[in-house]
Order: sequence, then C-alpha cells, then structure tokens
Amino acid sequence: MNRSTDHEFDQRIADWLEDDPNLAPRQALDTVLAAFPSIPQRRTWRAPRRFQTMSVPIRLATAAVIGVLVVGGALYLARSAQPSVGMPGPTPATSPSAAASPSQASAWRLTGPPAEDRGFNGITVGLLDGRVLTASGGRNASKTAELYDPRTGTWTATGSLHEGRSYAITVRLDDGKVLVAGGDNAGSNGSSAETFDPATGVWTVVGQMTESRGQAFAAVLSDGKVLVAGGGMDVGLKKTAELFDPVTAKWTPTGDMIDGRAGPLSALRMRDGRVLVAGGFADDKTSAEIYDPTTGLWAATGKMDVQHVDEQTGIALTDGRILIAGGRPTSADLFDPTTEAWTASDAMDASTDLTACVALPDGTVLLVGGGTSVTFATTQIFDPATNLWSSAQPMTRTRYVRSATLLPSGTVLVVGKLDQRWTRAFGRAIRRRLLTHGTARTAAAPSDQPIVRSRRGLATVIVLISASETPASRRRGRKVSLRYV
Amino acid sequence: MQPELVERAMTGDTDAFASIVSSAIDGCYALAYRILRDPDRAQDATQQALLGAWRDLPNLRDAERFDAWLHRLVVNACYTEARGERRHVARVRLLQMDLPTSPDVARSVATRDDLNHAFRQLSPEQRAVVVLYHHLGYPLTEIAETLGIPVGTARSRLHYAVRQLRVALDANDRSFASSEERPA
Repeated sequence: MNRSTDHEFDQRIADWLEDDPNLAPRQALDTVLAAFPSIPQRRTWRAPRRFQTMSVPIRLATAAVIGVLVVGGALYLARSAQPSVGMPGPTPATSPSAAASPSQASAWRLTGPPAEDRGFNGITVGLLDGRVLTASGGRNASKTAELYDPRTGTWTATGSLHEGRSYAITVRLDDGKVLVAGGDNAGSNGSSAETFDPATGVWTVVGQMTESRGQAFAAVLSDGKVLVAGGGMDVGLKKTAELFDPVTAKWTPTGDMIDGRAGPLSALRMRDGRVLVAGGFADDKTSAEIYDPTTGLWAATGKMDVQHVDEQTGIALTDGRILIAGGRPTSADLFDPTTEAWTASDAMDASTDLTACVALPDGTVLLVGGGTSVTFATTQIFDPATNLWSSAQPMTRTRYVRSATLLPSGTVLVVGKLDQRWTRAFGRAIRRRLLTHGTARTAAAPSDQPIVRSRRGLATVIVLISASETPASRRRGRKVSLRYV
Repeated sequence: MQPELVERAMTGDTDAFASIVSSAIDGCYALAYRILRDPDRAQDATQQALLGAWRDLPNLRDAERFDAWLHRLVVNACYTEARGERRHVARVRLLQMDLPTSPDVARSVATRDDLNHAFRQLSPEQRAVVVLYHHLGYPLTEIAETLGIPVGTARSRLHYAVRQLRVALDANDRSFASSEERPA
C-alpha cells in the first residue's frame, strides 16, 4: 500500500491550497468601499443619540414603550424578589418556598463571575473546604488563579502559578492540595508541574514530568499517587504514562497505554482501584483500556457502543459502574467493571458535545451544558437506578461548560462561557434584574446564597439542587421542570 | 493590521476603514475561496464579512486582535454561504485529448480532482479548520481561538477532515500505481 507520510501529505494539501487564487476581484473591493459608509456602526450606547434624531410621534411612541417596560419590569422584580428577602435558610430544601413544591426547589441563579475569562482551557477544581479553585487558561495561557467562596458567592484572587498554562492536567490530591501539570503554552506542551495549597494560597513547583503533555488523562490512585497518561496537541498522540508521588514529589514512568490518546477526559478510578480510560481523542474513539496499579500495565477492554465524537465527560457511579456521556451521541455508555461490558443508556433528551457532569448526593448524575445547541443549554439528570435520563430546567444560554462542582450545601457550581449573542441581546435587562436580587439577598441572607451578578460574555451559573430534592429521584423517567428564578 | 488604523476605524473614520479593506480584502477572499471553492460565493462571503466588520468594529475589544477577528467573520460568512441554497453550477473540465499528456501531469490533475471532490464532502466547519491549519499555518490553539471553539473540537474537526482527504489521496495513488504496473 502506497500510503503517503504525514509530512508528504501535509505538503500536498498545502500545495493544493496554494494553487487557489489569492486576489479578490476588483468588483468586490468596489462594492465594499461603496457600501460601508452608508452602514451605521453598532455602538453600545447609541440609543440616546438616535432618539434625538427621531420624529416627534416616533419619539413619543418609543418613550411610551420604554415607560411601560420600566414600570412593568419594576413591578415584576419587586414581586419576584419578595420571597427571598429575610429568608434565613441557605438551601432550597430548608426554605419555605422550596418545601412547598419540588418544582420550585431547584433553580438557576447567576453568581459572581471570575475576574478573568479563562475560556475553554482553564481549570476548575472543588477544594475540600468547599471553595472552588479556577486558574490558568484564557487567551494567553494565564498564570492567575481565583477562589470561589460559596458563602459570599464571590471570587477572589489567590497566588499565581509559576507558569502560564492552557488545557493543563489537574487533579485534587488526597491531602487537599491541587496538582497542575503540563498543558499548552505558546503552541507547545509543557512538562513542569506545581501544586496549590489552599491553606496558604501558594503554588509550589513539584518537579517535571518525564514527558511534556497537554490534554492528558489523570487520576488519583488508591495509594494517593497520580496516574498521568497520554496527551498531545498538534503532535502525535502519546501512549506513555507516568506516576506522580505526592510524598516524594517525584515523577516515574509506568507502563505505556495500548493506543495513543488525549483528552479532555479524566481517567476514572474504579472501585477495585484500577483506572479506566475510554474514548477521548484517539484513532478509535470507541476503544477503552484499563490500568492496573498493582502491575503497572494496561489492558484493552470492550469497546463502547457509541462513538463520542467531540469532548465527552465521564464519572464513576455509586453502584460501581462508569458513565461516559456527551460528545454528540444521543445516548451515554455505561461500563460494568465486573463484566467489562459496555451498554448504551436510555436515549438522552439532547445531544451535547461540551458537557460536564457531577454526582449528586443521592447518586444521580447531573449533566450540564452543550456545545451545539442554539437554544438554551440543556440540563439532564441520569438516574443509575433506572438507567433513565430526564430533562431539567435548561441553563441560561451557556454554549460551553468547563466544569460542574458539587458544593457542601448541595448546590452545584457550573463554570462556563455564555453565548455572546444572547448576552448582547438580553444581558442588560437580565443583569439589572439579577443585581436587584443580589442586593436583597446580600442584605438579608449572607449565608451561602450567592451574590448575584453577571457580566457580558462570561458568567458563572449556580443550579440549586439539594440532596433531598433531586428531581430525578422523585420523578424517575419523567420530565421535570425547575423554576428559573 | 496596524492597531492605530483599526482604532481610528473603530471611532468611525471611513478613510481608515477604506485602507483596512484595501489591504485585507485579498486575504479574506483567499480564505473564503479555499473554504467555499466557488468564486461567486467567496466574493459574497468576503463582502459580507467586511461590511459586518465595519458595522461591529466599535465592539472589538482589542485592536491587536483585528486580524483573527476578521478571519472569524470571514469563516462565519462562509458558513452562511455554504448553508444557503445551493447553486447549480456546471463544472466541466476540458481534457486536451489531442495533446500528449505526461503521466505526471495526468496524475497531478487527477490528484487535484480527487482532493477537490473529497474537500467538498467535508462540512464547512471542517473545511475552515483545514484551510486555517494547512494554508495559513495556524496552530490548533490559534484556530480554536479564532473560531471560538475549544481546541479539542478544532483538533477533532481537523482529524476527521484529514482522514477523508488522506483516503482520497491514497486511493488516487493506488490507482496510478496499479495503472503503471499494468502491461501496455
């Protein structure tokens, strides 16, 4: 077989594209130059100027419409804000309004956004003390880090990383510190590693990985060591794996994977201590393999039923099975470690490709977000007892979701990136409304009700779902509707 | 693009924007043509992108990022064009039957045809990633930033696109190899 090499292939594609025309027709230039001066530029605050140029009847009509909207909006906000003022209970389960109806118990709320837009490539980790760390990422592989405090609903800056990173490997160690390693910076993968100590807010360099890696798999093993495997960006996919010992801060190679593979997807530790890696970015996206820490070797296991094309997410269920979801197929894959067999789940209500999932205290799994939807981002709940998915209240129009973290109060913090078009169209009105809520709540209930704030283009969203009020546990297999507050 | 020129255009300076258009239009057209493979549609997409750039320029946050932002507008305009009603275009390639054709020339023409055919089978999103990667030489992280997608998605699109193009090229290579082995 005369298969061309990668370099030869790249060259042929580049040559083929190079032969295409590079000069625009003169007519195109003339058209643009003639047309653009007559097109008004869109500016954020141009309404008043245009208002002055309107004719009197249009001005009166516009003023009337604005007046109706302002009065109606004020009445609506005053009414909807009333129940929360003076409410002492932090969680919906204990609040009078939550107890009244399960459908009112869960709701989406915007909370304080991080100061920095970390795009799709930052890291977010829940800490043992209930706070949430977000760091790195963004357009320029940031070094900064911030901590979210659920009691105040605000993010505050903490110590900066030693090295800027993008798509870094991240795990929370057993002692509560956070290990961050590798990632991408200036177009190449790095090998350095550092840990974050939540008690001091300080990052400490912990040596170098044996190889540079970006978008690799990582999991904390039963003995506290960290398994890191695969990775790769523009270059080939890596098969190699290595172990990090937090006690000695040393990295040592371990057995190679069978297939080259990259994330983003966490390696998932099973009950018996072995680690499953499935799909991800690989030549065969249905393939899966298992790492055995006792032997340091990988072994192939059954292939998934469905192919997760783009970014997928996975989680270990309380019954020992592993759930792989997202990546566009309309069903999820379930792996049974005892039989090493995959089965497809019940059909999901929406196909999503950039999702995050989190285990809720009652054993159900909340799957949030989605990258291809042009409507509201989906929220779905998987119940392992019935293998059924049920829809929940969609989030605000979050196109991509980076992480979902369970907070001590039973709420879930979701960090994502809002659809710019949505924020442009509705951001101002909703921001005003949310600010009103935030003021009332901050004054009346400074417990763990979040200060509600929003910012264009980037927002953090909290969905309130308590352990006792998880909709799927009450309404298995049925659609549920959570009230958007 | 000079940031000063962009900043002047952001304030509504038509002369500044005319200068920007004059220097950027060829690059926009080249990008659009490679994605759409159609001169008329490429022209439409280029015009739409540049007019959209003028309209939304005051909302550009960072003048230094103008080029990447403009590329994104061009790609989005290409998506719109590609998803529009398909035009019926007769594509006829004239074969010079009377002239002696060397095997290399014939092979080159066949390769181009196969690549063209395979490229047209790709989705507009995949085409955009291929062009940005192989023609403009952007790294995947830059492509992801330009298109506003995660790098994993960019890589996935490139992977599947390249796989299809490689299949077309390898099939072409095999057919020529077998024809050369065949006795005259």
